[in-house]
Amino acid sequence: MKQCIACGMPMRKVDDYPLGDTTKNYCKYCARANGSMQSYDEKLASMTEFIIRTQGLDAHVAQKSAAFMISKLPAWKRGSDD
Amino acid sequence: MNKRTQQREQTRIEILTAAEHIYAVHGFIRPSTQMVAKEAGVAHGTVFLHFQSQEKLILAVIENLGQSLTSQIHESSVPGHSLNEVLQTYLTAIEANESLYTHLIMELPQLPKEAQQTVIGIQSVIAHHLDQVMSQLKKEKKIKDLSFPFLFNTWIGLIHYYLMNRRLFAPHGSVLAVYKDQLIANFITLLEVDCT
Repeated sequence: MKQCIACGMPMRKVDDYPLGDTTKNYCKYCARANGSMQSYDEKLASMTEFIIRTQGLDAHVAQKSAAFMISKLPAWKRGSDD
Repeated sequence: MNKRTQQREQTRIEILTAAEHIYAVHGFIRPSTQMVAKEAGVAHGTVFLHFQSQEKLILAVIENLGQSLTSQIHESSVPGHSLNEVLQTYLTAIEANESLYTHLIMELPQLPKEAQQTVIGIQSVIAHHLDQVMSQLKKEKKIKDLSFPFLFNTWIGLIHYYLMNRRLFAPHGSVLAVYKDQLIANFITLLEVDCT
């Protein structure tokens, strides 16, 4: 079972992959509509939005937490340093 | 990996394991690095060779805990899980690390900000799985139409209250071992739409 390099989610079924493409190493939540992988800024924004929508946190706290979480993932280990 | 690197990695793991044990019993703030060194059977200076500072050692233990909990929750979550099964998965993962996790949430205000962010990371994983199952149940009008953050924070608040007061609820052991099933059952009953 592969794990999304951009958010850490396990990808078990075809439906978890962007446009059902199981050769990709990122999941459908980390892909744009055309199936390409979101940029660091796009992922940071979507993760921040997810934290606000599900946990109701302050926007600034949510963004800091999202940046911390994605900094641990293979796709963003360098992009998160700034 | 050569033998020297292997030994170094092994010592690092032994120090981390010893620190996890000490922090699970005494919390993160009170224990000294000497206590950790003694538990690991290494010289005090060896702890700093691997972790540079007490703060870095604490954060390494917390990061390990976060990774362990999130991978347990992800691995046990199967598509199509019921609400009961998602909540069970979360509490089973917490129960396996109950003492360390309880100290983490109780001491959060005194710990570095990365500790808070790790807790939000753990919560984001369970939020992802709960969001999927609850959205479907809301569409089917099987649970009340309350906002997701309210439902989520009510659940987390309930669990944290029991964990933080475990001396009142289960002074001699695991509070989740005793209350897990009834907390889940009652939470689901609260959410269910009354069809009578």
